[in-house]
Amino acid sequence: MGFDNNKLNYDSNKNEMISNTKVGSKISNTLKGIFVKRLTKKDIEEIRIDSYTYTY
Amino acid sequence: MYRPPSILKILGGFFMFDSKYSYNLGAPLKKTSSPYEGESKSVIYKVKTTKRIPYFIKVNYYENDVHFIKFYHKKFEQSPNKYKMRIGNVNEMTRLVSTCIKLAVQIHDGNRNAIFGVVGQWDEVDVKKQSEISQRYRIYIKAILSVLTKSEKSFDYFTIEKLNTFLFIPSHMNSEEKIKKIGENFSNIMGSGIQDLAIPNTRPT
Repeated sequence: MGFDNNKLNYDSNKNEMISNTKVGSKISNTLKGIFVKRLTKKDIEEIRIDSYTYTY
Repeated sequence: MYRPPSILKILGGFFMFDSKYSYNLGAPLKKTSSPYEGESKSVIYKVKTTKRIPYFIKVNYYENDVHFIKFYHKKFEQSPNKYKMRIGNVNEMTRLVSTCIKLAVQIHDGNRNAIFGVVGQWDEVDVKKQSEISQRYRIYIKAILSVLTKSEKSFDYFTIEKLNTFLFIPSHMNSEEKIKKIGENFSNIMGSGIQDLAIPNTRPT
């Protein structure tokens, strides 16, 4: 426990939630470069097409 | 050279996650309100594969109508690594994931605001292969998208790829504020355990 509530931020322009790298804790450092991404229709189609080929 | 998938594979892809391939879900085996993983309550279902192998599917209920669904083999019930065991074949895992989706749809039918998340825990094979994302995650995301995007249900989909985490949120519930709150809660619930969601050799530095 003990996360800074601001470490994940939502960027409405990119439609992504970006990790806040300003937070100096060890845990937040591990979150650098990690973001919540909303899948676009194109992303979804690509994943679905890929699933047809059983590439697990 | 690009080789297009055969028509059989394409047709198989359409149907492999179909709910008719999911396992039977009986009544909940156990309900608990004792928070173990930060949840407000949890419900456990038992399913048996066609080879009579018992698995448990667990739904954790969190604040803001958030539900996390996961599954594990019965023999690893007491293991802290029960979600990191790769057993059975891909077909069996696919059918288990289809069962998890069927359960999510059932919950959503009873609560239109229900938000869902899955964490595709990595296993030793993922580590050995130095995969960037886990096999469980890949199956989860493909199954969920294959099933729900062709259903009448309207969800928006979010990935936290490096943490092998996938969220699907009813479109009417999707807002900047809501996503932010879910992200905050997810981080708070996971605590330092959030580091373990990334495959070890691919952890960000």
